Amino acid sequence: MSNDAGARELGRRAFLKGAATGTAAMATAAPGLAEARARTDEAAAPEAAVAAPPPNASQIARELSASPPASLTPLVTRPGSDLMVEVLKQMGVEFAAANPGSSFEALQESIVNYGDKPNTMPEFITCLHEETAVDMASGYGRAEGKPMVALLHGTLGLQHAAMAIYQAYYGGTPMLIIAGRDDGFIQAHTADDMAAMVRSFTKWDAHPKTLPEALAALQEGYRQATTAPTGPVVVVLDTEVQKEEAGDFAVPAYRPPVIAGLDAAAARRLAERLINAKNPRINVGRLRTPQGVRQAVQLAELIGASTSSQATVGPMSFPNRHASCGPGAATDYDFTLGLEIGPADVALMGPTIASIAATRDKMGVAFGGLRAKPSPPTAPLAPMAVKIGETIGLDAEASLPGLIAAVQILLTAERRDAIAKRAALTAAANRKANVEGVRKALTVKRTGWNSSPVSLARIYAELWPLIENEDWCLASPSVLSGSHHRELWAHNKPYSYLGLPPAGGIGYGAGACAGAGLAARERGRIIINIQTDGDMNYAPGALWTEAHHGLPVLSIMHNNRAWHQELMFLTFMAGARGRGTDRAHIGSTLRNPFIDYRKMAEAYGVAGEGPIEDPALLRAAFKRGIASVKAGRPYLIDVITQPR
Amino acid sequence: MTLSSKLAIVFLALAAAFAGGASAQTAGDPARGKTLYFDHGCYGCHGYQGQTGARNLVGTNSPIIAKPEVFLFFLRQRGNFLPMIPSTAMPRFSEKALPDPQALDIYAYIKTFKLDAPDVASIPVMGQIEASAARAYQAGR
Amino acid sequence: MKIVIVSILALGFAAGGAVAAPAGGDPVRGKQLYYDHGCYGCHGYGGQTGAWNLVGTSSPIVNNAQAFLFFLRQRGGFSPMIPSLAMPRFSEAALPDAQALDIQAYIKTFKLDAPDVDSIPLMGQIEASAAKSYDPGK
Repeated sequence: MSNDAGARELGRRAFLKGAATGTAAMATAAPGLAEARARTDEAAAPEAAVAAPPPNASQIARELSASPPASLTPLVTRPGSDLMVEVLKQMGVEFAAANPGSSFEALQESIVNYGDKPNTMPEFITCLHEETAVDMASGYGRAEGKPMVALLHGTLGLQHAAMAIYQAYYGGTPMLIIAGRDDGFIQAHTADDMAAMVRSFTKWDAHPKTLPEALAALQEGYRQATTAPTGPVVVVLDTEVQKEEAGDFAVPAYRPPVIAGLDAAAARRLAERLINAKNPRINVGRLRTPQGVRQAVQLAELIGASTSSQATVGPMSFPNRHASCGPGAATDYDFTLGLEIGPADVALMGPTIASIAATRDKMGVAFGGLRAKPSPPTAPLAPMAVKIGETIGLDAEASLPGLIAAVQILLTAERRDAIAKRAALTAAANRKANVEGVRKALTVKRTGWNSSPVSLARIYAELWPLIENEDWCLASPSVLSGSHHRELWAHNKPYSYLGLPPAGGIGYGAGACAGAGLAARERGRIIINIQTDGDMNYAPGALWTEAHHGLPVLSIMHNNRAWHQELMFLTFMAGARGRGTDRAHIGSTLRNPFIDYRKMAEAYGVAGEGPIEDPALLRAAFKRGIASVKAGRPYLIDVITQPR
Repeated sequence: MTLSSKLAIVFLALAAAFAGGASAQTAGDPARGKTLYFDHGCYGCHGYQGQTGARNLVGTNSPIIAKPEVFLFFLRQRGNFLPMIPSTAMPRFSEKALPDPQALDIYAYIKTFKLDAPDVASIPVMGQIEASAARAYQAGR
Repeated sequence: MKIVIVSILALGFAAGGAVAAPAGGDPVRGKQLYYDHGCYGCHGYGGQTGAWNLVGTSSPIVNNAQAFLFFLRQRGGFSPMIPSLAMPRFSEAALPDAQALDIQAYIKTFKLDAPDVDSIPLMGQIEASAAKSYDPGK
């Protein structure tokens, strides 16, 4: 390329960068055309335009580029990236979230154009930040217990996404991250060992060198992500492999992972102990998939055990208003089975994500807690746990089918009768306990009911009657807004509540809600997002993605105009030093000016209202919001709240 | 006996002592107190009206807000340590950070708080939540 | 040499040659297609920005239907190993002849919007600014 040609190319790139910005603002053809029309009309207006000069030789040469027009070269007919999309289809990957990047241009082109139904399975989801793309995969993965894809552009995309990947690793959230690698374009965007920079906090990665290896790596990555310990995996795909002609190479069939569970003999022994117990209990932690949750329910019902659940603190646990869930009629449990939970007489517990950190963390970087996380066998007992009996280092979900089968074989008619009687007593006791617990919670949560700014308990309380008969998912972390749903709402779905940001990182919530919204859109579900203001401001472009893709996300601002916990920390620190408690707001509040979240939503194309300071206005606003999201339009309600 | 219950006894004793002999403090100004309550971050834990968060400024007969002297004593002796991990415990408010007259303004403001907690039975939404809690679980719902 | 080849081709088409002249396109439909297929991306909404060579040119490529179609079909016939901003190929499968000619009809409606430099006061100021000498204190 001559210098002139180089300069031209640079000029075009600079221009196209601007053009890309323009394109992004035009969600669909219609408004874009309106603008195009305005511009062309404007352009056409001055009739006094000078006569056009004829093209000179170099213009014509440029027009025709350097390609000889002598004959038509054949089109690329079966690029490698088409086969990659075929593999994603086979595995049932619904979505690929990304902001565009040249290192995966070939794969992106295949996603949007390849197949009988292009741009489905996966559908390309446009994000405005890589952190949003990966947080969306987190929200989706936690709600569905299965991976979607996040596409990242080389070294840049990986670093933008790194914090979100770190949280996914901490949370054991399954996702398939594809990093494009282009060795010939921009040197700063590539690296020999691309995945190295996130290896400390990903479960597995691969950098295949050929197309067959790339397809195998995508399949193995999916298996790794969904096998306990679940987590994020990275597959680095070179542009050459994405772009090469595949010829007649066939896509290999996908084989799901085989996850080890109890063997038949062990299942039978465990089944006997459950059946023979007078007052058995099953403590349920976080299982891998909705199927695991269904099986836990089936087992509890077969055995007539009382159960405990973690559904109010995270996804994939036992329905917390199931008749078995609660303390039961008596708490003298004589046999306790734990499913992915701490101390119990027998706990089935797959390897935790932390247990693989030592082998992955080759750089020796001690990312907080990951290495020290496996809890010692002497971990403090849960209040109801009798003692630690036996821990079986096997995946609970993979063990449940065998265990259920063994119970079904061993149960006699006589035992079934006894179990039915016990279950009835348990159900009655649990319902009483539940009603009493809710009543007690209400007497506390009514405090500040009519206060302005709005009490957070009131937000959660007002929501419940409006969503109870909807298929809902609380996708936002709730601890900062008081977690009032825990007592007031029923958590009967595997995705009722998706839990905290796994590593406590703020900025996760907005993206996770959008990602949960992807799953929701396909399934007639709505997303409730009690959105803290601090979190919203990291990557508010998630709002645009919600609008663009019609995601049913109702965002209700928990707008306390601060990174409030930091304000409290700072005040304490100043107090301990005997000075300036009235200056702790510096650097820890969002004042001067206040941020107008309704306008922020409007800017991104999300309908909304507020700010609301009068709690009497909440119910009507929530109704409007729910109606909007049920119609596939995201909605944001700015509520000025009490701090906590 | 927990630390907090020990403290409570100390305060009760102090309250009794102050009730006896200490000279009456100049009464604070609730209007100034409102600003100070915000500026010094009291709202951060106790809510804008003392009814949310660590909501123990309203409807309580705690000795700490029964008498201004006790209130001052309480502010001065809090958080007498430098935490090595961040703390959301109630900070110390020293004389230097918050002089007595200002603290008494805050005290006067706190005393204007009125409990805003209707009966559960008078709030329809709460009735709906209770009814919901009593409903039987249905698979798939 | 290439220029010569191009010119010969153009002349051939212009003279009617052996190929039948395609029917004229519809500029209204062409406007939508010009946007949908991303032509505006490089050539601007009025063909006057970016790679602004659609306006005021007597290039046979924009003035002759056969040449226009041939040009679209023979572009970018390779899968680039690095991302390319060169003009893409628009194959018959992606953009059928009739639609391509709609686009051409639309392109032909473009009018040059380039006033004389002297008639734009701002340009005079920029010229004057360029003539100012360097002042280390500013």
